[in-house]
Amino acid sequence: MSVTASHRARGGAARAEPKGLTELYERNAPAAVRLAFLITSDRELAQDIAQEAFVRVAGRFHHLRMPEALDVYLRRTVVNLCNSHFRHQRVVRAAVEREASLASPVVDEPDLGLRDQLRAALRRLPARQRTAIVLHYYEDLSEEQLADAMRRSVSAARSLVSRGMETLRNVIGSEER
Amino acid sequence: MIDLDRELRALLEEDARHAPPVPEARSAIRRTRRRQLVVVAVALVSAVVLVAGAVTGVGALIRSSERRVPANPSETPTPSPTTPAPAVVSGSGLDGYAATTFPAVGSLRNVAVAPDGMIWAASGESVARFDGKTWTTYTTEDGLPRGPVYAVEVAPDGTVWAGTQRGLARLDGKTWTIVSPSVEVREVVFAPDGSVVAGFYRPPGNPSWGGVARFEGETWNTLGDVDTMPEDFLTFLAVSPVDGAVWITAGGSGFIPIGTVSRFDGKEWTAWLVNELPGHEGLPGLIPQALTVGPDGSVWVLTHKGDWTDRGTLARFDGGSWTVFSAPAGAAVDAWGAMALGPDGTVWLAGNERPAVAEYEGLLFSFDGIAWTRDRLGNEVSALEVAPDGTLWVGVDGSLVRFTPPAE
Repeated sequence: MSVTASHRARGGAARAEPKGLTELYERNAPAAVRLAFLITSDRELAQDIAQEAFVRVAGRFHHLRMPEALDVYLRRTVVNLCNSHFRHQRVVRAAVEREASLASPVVDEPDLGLRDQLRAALRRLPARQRTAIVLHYYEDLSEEQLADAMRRSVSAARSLVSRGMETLRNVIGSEER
Repeated sequence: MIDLDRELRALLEEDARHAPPVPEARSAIRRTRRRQLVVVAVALVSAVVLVAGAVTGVGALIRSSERRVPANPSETPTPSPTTPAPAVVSGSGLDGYAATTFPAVGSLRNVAVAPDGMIWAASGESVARFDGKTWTTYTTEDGLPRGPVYAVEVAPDGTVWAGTQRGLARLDGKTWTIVSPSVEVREVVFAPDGSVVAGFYRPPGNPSWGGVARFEGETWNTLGDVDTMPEDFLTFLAVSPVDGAVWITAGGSGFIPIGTVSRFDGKEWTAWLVNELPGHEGLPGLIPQALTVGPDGSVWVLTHKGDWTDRGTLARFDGGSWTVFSAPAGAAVDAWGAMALGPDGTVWLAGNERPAVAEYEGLLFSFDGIAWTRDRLGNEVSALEVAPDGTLWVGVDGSLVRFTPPAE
């Protein structure tokens, strides 16, 4: 709990700097950046995705009709943009791998602590499974909300989480052994 | 044995703390405005194309009807509905009021007045209390769930409740306790029997739990069959102090959104499509913008078409029928503010006007059943509450403004 001193201001209604869209941005962008960062693990990309998502959602006037729904639309758009990024990345990676003829040397993974192992395993998960896990375990979305955010059926969303968790459990299990 | 769920949550929380800073707003705002201009331009071009198409189509219909005998003469189109004439605005509703502005802890989503005179507000991802001099803020460190706080309300017994993105929280002493499933709570109200009623998010197309539920001390009971609830964003919730009926509005989504107003009488839900209400019949794109129930049980709903040509419509349900009043000129654009009733029955409405894609202009209206008044307040009005003594508390431009009524 924090206590802030207040200053008694001038009488009459205030007239401050213009704020409409800025208020919306400041209210919703932090959560969008956090979500994009957790899904992509890329700081600059997360900033770009959050900003692009805001422009797309606010630019469609959705916030004028239903301001309370803006965060839901924003979350969906962040997920979509992350998916688009991963799709693009897959194409690029495939091209690079073809050129390199899979000649990269095998590198022993350093001995990491449990949390680092888990983090590494999470990043190695297929993008959709990682997105589903972040939405479920960080955003605390229910299965229905998860399905809504990922535009999938409830059973498909549930399956993404459970398959991702199974992989992570195997990683942790092998670490424990 | 490692608790993977707990490890994973801790890991994600830790990583989220290392998320990059939010990019500066300026560039995003500039791009958003540009995009909005494009949307407006596309809409205008589409409208021109549609009008041209309609004119051509009507011409074709007239020509074809010359060769055809109508199967049933009674099927002729009904005349367009008559909307109430624009209401006249006369003067300021704040004449004689003393205004004092207090810097707030951010933009206020809603404001509630506690029986002990404390002001409670939802702001960003925190709850704030104002004692007239200082603000005290509560965050996740005090037990609030992470994410935006949508509503803060104070029960008649002084208990403070917060609707958040991750459920309903109750202030127990100095910390918050989460008392519901982790589902977004948009609104919370108190029934005459003292029970707490909350409006939960119900994802469109995936309804399993949500809608409106009553807290029975330990458990939540949804009101009526959840499948009969509108599959849409619940936007407002109110309860009648007379008969305990629960009223909700749902947003209306899609290209032409048609909102709903619904009442739960203790047994079942009755729903009205907003465009079926008197004075609204057949109108496209109607979105409930505010809902409140007066001490006499009368229900007030403000609706808006969601475009800048509409001035909004105010409707009152007296238990038997709806009466429709046109909102005043200038109430039109993007009015997504709040509505509150004064102790003398005056309806207060806070809205935001936005000419084209310029910034918001905050407006405050009052309606005494006959005449409207209008006051300009600032750049954005975000919250409004009227205390039992008639004092108005308004969230505007990141500040809290108190309007004290003149002494009798």
